[in-house]
Amino acid sequence: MKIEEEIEIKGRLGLHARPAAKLAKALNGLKAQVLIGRGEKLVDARSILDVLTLAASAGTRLRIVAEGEEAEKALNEIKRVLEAYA
Amino acid sequence: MKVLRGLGVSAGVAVGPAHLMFPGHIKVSRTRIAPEETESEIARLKKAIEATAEEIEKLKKELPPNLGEVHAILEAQRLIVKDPSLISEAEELIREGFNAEWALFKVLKRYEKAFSELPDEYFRERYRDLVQMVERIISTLQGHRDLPNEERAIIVAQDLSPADTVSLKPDFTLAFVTEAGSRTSHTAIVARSLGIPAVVAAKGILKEVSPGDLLAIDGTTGEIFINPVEEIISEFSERARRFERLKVRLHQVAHLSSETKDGRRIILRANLDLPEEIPFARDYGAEGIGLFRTEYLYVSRRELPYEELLFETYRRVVEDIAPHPVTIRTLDLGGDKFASVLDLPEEINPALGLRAIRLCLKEDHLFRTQLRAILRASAYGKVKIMFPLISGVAEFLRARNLVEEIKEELAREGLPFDPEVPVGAMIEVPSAVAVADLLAREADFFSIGTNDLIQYTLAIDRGNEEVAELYEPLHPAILRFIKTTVTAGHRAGIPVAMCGEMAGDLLYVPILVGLELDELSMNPQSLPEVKLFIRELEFKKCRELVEKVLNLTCQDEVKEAVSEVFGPHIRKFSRSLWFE
Repeated sequence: MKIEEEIEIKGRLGLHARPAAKLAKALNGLKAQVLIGRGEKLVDARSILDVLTLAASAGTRLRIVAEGEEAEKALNEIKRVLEAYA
Repeated sequence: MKVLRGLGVSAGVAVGPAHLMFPGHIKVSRTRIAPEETESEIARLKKAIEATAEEIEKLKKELPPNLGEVHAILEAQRLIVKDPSLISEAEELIREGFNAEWALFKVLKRYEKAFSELPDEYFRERYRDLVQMVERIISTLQGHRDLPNEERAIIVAQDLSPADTVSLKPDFTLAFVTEAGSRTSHTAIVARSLGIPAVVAAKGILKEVSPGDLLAIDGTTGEIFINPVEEIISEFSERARRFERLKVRLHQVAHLSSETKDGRRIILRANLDLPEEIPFARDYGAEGIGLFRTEYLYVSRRELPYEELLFETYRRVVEDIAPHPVTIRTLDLGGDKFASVLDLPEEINPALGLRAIRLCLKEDHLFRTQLRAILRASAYGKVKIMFPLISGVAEFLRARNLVEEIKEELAREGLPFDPEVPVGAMIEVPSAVAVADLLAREADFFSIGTNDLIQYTLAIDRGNEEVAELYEPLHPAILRFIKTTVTAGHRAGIPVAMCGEMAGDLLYVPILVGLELDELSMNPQSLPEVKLFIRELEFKKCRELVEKVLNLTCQDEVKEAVSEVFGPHIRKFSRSLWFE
């Protein structure tokens, strides 16, 4: 299963180290490949380093592509983590 | 011998060899790996990564529970060590025939480029976290760590990462000295909680010190002696003995009551910025916190603190200081204290501009969030709310009404709070003194902030060297203003405290006692000597002194009058605990 969604980064600092760390931890162990980024430039959402190099400041719209058995769960996890920092 | 001076941020003295740490200075050599060795080289890398991640996990677990912020940083750094992209890229390079160290180094260089091109400074800066972590993995690979493991040493560095500071255990570390840093930097906080002496903001230290140089440092005064002469070394062993005695004495003094010989009690409290400082305030005998400054969470971060973070911080303060009370001063930002997250416009005259309570009443959302957090914390102990820079009754009432509104809001949401929480005004603007009788009807307490009161009353900017000598705490105008404030407060039946620097200075103590202040709040270090001094005073004599000095014409005359009566006492107690 492959699902895609676009979300807006809220919170003044954008997608900074703490949410990036939370993201990596939340996705750990889930059976899904999750990519995040802009347009065709997508990176592994489990990589805190790559997520930081997106430099996604507040208001950035990011594309999320999740694929695999637990794709939907992964997407929900991402939304949950990012909401907590909005 | 050379002498430098930094900022003493963690008390204690140390003499020992310097051990220099140079973060960002990795030496790696490049070797070819034969195809049949590839798998074992990858295994070596993975083992080092696991070991490093575990090491950080362990540091995190051993962290004193009060270092929450450091905890979060270590967690992010641990995840960087285990980053899947970092590992897979390094693995690929090893497959191309490079050794693990070189592979990591190459990946680091790749990220250096990626990070340096980012438009936002915050994200660019995260490269430093990566460097620190790659350094750790490489030193694990090389089987050594850039730490003194044989000999106890004084660590000298530009700055220390939280992981570095925590991993430098007291067994190996005599003291920390850093070129950068401030009282609230991680090094300072961690050093204090581990009881290791530390001096930060020691400008020039890296240039002046070579590895193995003998250093003598004093974490109270901030003094650093490089290759000290014999006399200094023996002076330092004397200071070390005194410091040990001081620690013993502190505990004895902490339990004594702070009252004059003729039975007038003056409550002594501490001024603090961080919950981490509470154990020290207790050790020094504080009967609560007379001024909890709340700016740290606003200036140390790149985003505004959210309600839960504020609430958790305040709740910890309230619980840790119980059964004593804490007076929480609402946000005192603007002016010289600038929070980058607020995007405040630059002002020509910031001391008279949009700051403190004015800013809070204007940026209503900011204030509401903080008041909600304070009120929620009030359910867990004794909290008092204090507004800074109050200049008149209407302003105070606006702030006070907001507190009432928020109480109703919390009640509707079913969140607990103390409905009787006292709300007071800081007296630091001359206009507030002029209407102190009117304010006293509305406020539950006063606390005099002398630093600003002196600056505004005498129209002297203390930071301006041209006029700094005109900054006179004992100017008769200041003494009269204090008198007016105390009288107005007591007539209305409310207590009057003082929480400025003046409260912790022995020269002023007899006057402050004679002016009938109910409470003095100061830096914790000053508490024991002020208490011992108060125990030697007679309230009656202090009042007589005040009667006299209120009619003198200038600070010099006041000083003379104080010395005449109390000079020998002051000399006896001044720094007596340190230099007895």
